Amino acid sequence: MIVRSRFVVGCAVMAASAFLWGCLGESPNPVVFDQVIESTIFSNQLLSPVVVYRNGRVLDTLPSRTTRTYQIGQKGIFQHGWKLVSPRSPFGEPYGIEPFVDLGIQYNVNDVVIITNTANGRTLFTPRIVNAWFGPITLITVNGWASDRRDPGLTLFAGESTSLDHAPYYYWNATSDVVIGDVNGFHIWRASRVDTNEQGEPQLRLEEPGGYIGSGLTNTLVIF
Amino acid sequence: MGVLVGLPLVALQVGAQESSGEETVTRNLSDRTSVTLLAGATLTSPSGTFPSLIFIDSETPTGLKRADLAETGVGYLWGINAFFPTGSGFGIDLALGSRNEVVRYRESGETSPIRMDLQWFHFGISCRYFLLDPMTGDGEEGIGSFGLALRGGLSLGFGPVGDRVESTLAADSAGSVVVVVDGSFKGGDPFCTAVGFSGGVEGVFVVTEDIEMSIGSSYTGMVTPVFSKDALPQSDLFLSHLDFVAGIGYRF
Repeated sequence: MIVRSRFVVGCAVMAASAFLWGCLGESPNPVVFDQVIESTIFSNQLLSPVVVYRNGRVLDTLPSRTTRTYQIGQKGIFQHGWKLVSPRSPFGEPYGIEPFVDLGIQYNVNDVVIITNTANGRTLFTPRIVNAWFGPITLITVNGWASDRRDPGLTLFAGESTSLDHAPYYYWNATSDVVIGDVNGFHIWRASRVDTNEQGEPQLRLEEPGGYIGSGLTNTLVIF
Repeated sequence: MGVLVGLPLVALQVGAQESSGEETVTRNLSDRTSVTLLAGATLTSPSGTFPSLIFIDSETPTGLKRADLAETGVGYLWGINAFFPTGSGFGIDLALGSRNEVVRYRESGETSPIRMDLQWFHFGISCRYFLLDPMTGDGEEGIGSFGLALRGGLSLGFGPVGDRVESTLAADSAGSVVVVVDGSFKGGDPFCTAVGFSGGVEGVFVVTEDIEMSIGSSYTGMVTPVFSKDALPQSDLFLSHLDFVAGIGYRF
């Protein structure tokens, strides 16, 4: 039995080490096919505009929930990327995060890029907040228990909701939460992924209702 | 392949014997689960035209490489193979490992040579049938005997997890000065998942009651092209492999 266990463990160790050792050394230089790349279609599923880049230069700003085709019609190396554009405070500070996503070199003759709420392997979310309070409220903190905590200070006036055209985004963590307060600081509302409501559902959850698939929109938080 | 299929399907199986008490318990080789570490060489033969490429170092394209310029490239592979007996000399093989393939096209009067190295994460599932199926037991019975098995099944390559292309290009109009250029496909987008069917033969030597050594050879014909149709619509580049492996295994 001891011999058998040692053999199995030995196999696993050798497999892991051989895989690491056996990795092929790639060249730092890119290579592409000698053919014309025709076009790239970008489809933005997010509720915020994104800036589209080609070879490090701005190609366009793509509004939320919009699809556009960008012609190329040339041979060569075409490397695309996109960057989320957060709404900003009157002082120019972004309310949310603005990750950049490098899409690498395009090899498909006609490529389709669907931009969803995933950036560099991390999920994004935007809280859907409806202000049914009688006065203005402020989105005070997002992800208060995580290392990527943000203090947006986004104000919603009475009857106002978060935008579906230019919404702030945040990373979706295991402990994601939002803290909202009235402008006087007398009332605080908190919704968390960890805590549940009366129905046993997380207070904050990605719902992406019909028509908003891939947007990272949460359930509606009605503040009253 | 013809040779393999032509092997006489005569199984020299000796019925399993089991006895109780102080007597030795014996089973056939095919009745025991085994795990084997394998390593060896893979000979890769391309068929079809190799596409013209553009390296960032040089705007001069490499030009199409005709099918008749293809050469056999020697790469290597390693992995773990697990055998699960199903009875009557048959069993299921599951293979997991890494395969480094070398695709080569020689130079001609018009085009330069090119070499492409690909490393795939390899998974295989196949059926194994023992033609020679000696008994092995809790003791010295069977030690030193040989087994022989045929194998056939599905081979999958994921990735590639690494790739590298090298070529030489003429640096002047007379072609007297050449430069070596290299590059990699960044992101792995232009490749297809490699799907193929393989068949082979394997010899097993019983070293101890639980340890075995094996050598084998198999042929794999890929049914998917190297490059995806989205990236290279006109590509007809397919690969086939002839593998030679040796391994050491433990029987449970």
